[in-house]
Amino acid sequence: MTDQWYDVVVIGGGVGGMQVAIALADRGHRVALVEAHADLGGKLLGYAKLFPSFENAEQVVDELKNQLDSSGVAVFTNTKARDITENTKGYDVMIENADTPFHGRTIVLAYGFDIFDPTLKEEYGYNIIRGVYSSVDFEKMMKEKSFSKYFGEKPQGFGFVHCVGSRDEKVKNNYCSKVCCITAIKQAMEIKEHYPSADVFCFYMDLRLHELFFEKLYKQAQKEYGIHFIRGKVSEVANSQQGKVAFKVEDTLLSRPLRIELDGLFLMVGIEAYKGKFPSLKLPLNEFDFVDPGIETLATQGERGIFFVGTTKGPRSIKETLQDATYVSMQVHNYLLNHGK
Amino acid sequence: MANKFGFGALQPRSITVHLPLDSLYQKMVNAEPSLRLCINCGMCSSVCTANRFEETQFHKMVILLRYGLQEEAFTYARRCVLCGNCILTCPRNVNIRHVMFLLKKEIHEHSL
Amino acid sequence: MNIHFDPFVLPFFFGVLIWLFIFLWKIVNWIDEIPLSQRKIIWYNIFSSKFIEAIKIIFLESLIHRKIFKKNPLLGYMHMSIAFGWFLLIVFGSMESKFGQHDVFNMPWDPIFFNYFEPERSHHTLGPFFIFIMDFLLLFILSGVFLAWLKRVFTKWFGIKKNTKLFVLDKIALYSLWLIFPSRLWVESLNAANHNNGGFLTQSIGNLLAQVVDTRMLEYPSWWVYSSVLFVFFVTLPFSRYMHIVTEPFLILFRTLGAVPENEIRGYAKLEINSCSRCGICIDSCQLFHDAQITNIQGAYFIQSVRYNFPFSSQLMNCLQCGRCNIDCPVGIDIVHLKDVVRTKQHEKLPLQLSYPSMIKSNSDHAPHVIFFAGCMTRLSPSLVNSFLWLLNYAGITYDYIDRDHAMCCGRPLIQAGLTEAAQKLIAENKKIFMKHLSMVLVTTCPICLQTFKNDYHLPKHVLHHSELLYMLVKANRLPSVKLPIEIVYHDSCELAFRQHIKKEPRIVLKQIGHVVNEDENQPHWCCGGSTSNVNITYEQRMKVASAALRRLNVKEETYFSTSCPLCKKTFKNAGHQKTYDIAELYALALQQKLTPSFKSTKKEEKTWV
Repeated sequence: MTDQWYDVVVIGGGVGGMQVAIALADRGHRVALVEAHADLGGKLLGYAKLFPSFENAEQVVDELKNQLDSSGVAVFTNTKARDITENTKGYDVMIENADTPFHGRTIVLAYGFDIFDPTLKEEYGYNIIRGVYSSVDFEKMMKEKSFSKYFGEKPQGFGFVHCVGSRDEKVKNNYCSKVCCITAIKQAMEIKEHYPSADVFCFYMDLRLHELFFEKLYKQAQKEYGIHFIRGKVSEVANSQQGKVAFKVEDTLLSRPLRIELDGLFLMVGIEAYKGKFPSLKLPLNEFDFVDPGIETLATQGERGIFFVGTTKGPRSIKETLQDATYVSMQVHNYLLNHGK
Repeated sequence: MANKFGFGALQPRSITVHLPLDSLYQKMVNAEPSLRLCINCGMCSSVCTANRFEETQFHKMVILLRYGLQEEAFTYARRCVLCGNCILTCPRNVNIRHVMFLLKKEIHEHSL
Repeated sequence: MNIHFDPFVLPFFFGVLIWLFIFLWKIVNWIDEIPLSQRKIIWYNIFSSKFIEAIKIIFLESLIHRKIFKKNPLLGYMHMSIAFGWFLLIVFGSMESKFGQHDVFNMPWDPIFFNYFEPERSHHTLGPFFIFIMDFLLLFILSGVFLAWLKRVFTKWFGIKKNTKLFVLDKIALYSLWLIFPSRLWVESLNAANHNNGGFLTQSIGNLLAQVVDTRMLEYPSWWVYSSVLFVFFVTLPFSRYMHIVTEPFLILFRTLGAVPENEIRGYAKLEINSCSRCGICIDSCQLFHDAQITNIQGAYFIQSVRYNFPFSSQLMNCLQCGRCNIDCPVGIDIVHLKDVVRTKQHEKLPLQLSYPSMIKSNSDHAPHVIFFAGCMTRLSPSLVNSFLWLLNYAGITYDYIDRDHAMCCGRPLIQAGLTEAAQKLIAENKKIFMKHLSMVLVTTCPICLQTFKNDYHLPKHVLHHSELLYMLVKANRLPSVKLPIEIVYHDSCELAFRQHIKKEPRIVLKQIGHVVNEDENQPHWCCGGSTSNVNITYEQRMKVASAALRRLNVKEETYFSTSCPLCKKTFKNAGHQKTYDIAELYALALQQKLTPSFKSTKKEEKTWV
């Protein structure tokens, strides 16, 4: 099976990878999709509900999987691409723990992103202070419905810290991860629904709500859910006598430092470039290690038959990744047509 | 104490901004260009040693200087103990300590 | 009587007189500025063995330049050949003129211009020997001068990266110094050609010259040239870097006899400032020079600014005060202290106006074993404090964590910047808090606080760094050894290693955990770049210093890197090395069995999404 030649080999079975594979198969190309883990879906598998509509992430994944099934894409899970080399007609994709590589005339890289490791910001106390979690942990708690295991029945307050690992020279991530602000609002609303009597705070630097309906969600969060938005940065996280998270935050609009004790503090960790690499492949990376393929227009045919989808190029929302995948599939389609099929 | 109402010897609260912007601010920016990068996120105030006791907010001071409100800015500069916690955590790498130090010199040189 | 005289000796003679007058006037003033109590000690010590020791050091450093040899042999040879060679030339020249004189009186210029006045050298006592030795010494010096020319172009051969930038007076003195010996060679060769009295060098060159030029006509004007070049050199000497030639022996003498630096730029400090030859070794030791491309603030330039009253405020405050220049200076100038003095002079009255509520809690009358002061920097690293307190609990040491809730800064950054009056206000208040606590031992996790508690607080308590306390606990068998198969690189922080000389204790504590790669205590320390002494430097430049320090200590991505200072720890973490831990953290992790060779603190495996 793997000795055959495919028109496109898609590396990564997340949202972007699936979408691009479906789009290309629909146009009649022979597509192989290679995914390192046992399940397709990538980071989406860890999400419970998505902004701004609160639809289930599962639904999106299932929808894509269904389309994938009926599209004729050859899907290979538990198959991790170890390296990619060029040959005369296209590319070889070397697989870990397998002898025969995949051959493809074009490659689409959809390997996604890494999450910022919050232990690097020691002042927030992740893994040190009890009660400090990340936004990733929050989604897991939502999926498992395990809030009461961590916070009991009557917690009094929760906090969400924006910009952890983004817009920060000290960890060399001098960019905005785009999706964390709206995620924080969504998560704040979700936990408020779970614990209506608790006070929920969002500690932000700026609120970056870039899409049409995000501002509406913000307003809803304030009006109907009573989420408190405090402009300022958190420091000195510690455990109080009762085991709660005690910390200091500067309320910049009031110009005074506050001391608060909350039951849980969630750190909105940012999007970082994927750190795994394909040793033989030289990728055009920018200063943040994201792929920078140059100015993208329909006329551009992608360097040497290698294409990039979604968060390989920088922080993106799911909707933007789907749009990008469709667009990239057009690029691949054009390339295949022009290179003698 | 009863609340006072009505006329008194008070000033209107709005700040009149004169252009070009204040010369002390320009002087500070020339000596320390990173001052321009402050986004008023408040991390400096959050970790500031002096701010635990008396209001000492560098990020607010930048705004005060910009509008020429030097007296209020100087109160903050007087309170700084130069501990350096701010420069360790500023997400924009603003060289806060240097500006506080320059302002202390400014205060001293003009016997303010 | 046969007094040797010719008008051409006058430039030289006047040059020497002017130089001597200025020098004596200055040195007498400087010695007068040394406090009377110190002068008494110095006078007393002249009659002790310390005097012999001083002579020995002067010989080894001012003439042989032993410390410079250690830095780079070629550089050392260059300095030695000119200094020692010239010294011997004068000695032997004086002896030759004494032996060759038919008269009791010796004119001061006799040894210099001897060949002109008494050309029949081979007829004098020990003539042939002197003819040989003078030529040999001249060749010796000329080899040094040649190397000095070479150094201007091929600087790297001499072990330094860049030559000191010279200002105009230094340049004039330098060029005249370079001309002295070649012009001596020139004129003595002409003299040899005319009188056939030269040695292996001067005679051969003289004979060559005789074939191309009219040596008889050229000789006399050449003596004028030689004398004039000497004049220029001597007259510029007291105002240039070459003042060190005569000042350095006095500095070494007084220092060995017991003079110590004060808090003023006078007396001893003036001796130091004028002993700086701007050799450039301090520039080469400076991390800011190599790693941050800051090239105008090093010791030599700073001292030059103080000496000539050039404005230098950014040079003054743009220094990490790491002490590397102090350690490498061949003359032993305490550059760091001089900067402290000038900073204080300039900034001691800068204002500090802060009221804070008294933090003196009513204390119970029991005294726990130690008072623990974490310091403001440690606040940014909660795991450091937690680990140390865990270790204290493990070892059964009771403590009072006095700045858990609220505390003021120890005051050292103010002192470093020169704001001594402001610092004293803080110190007075903080002392009240410390004195309220009954324990006799104060332990802190921050070497910056440690330095000021010891130097400026004058507490009647024992002040320890936490690594020292851990060391004592290890020695008392209250903390066990775990000896895991891991490699640890230890970072000597400037405050701990340079100021306090605490290098052994942290290493021994780390040895209880694993293998310490850099065991040698005597290796030079590398500043992390985070220093609170430097007010001007940008954070990006600090990161360059930190990254370079990591490279120099051979820290790979997987290496456990141990710091002993919360500021160093934060700085190195910001620079990107994730496996940076304080000694206390490593030890606690090891004892909690959370530290294995494959331990990766940054990845939680359950974070994968499936």
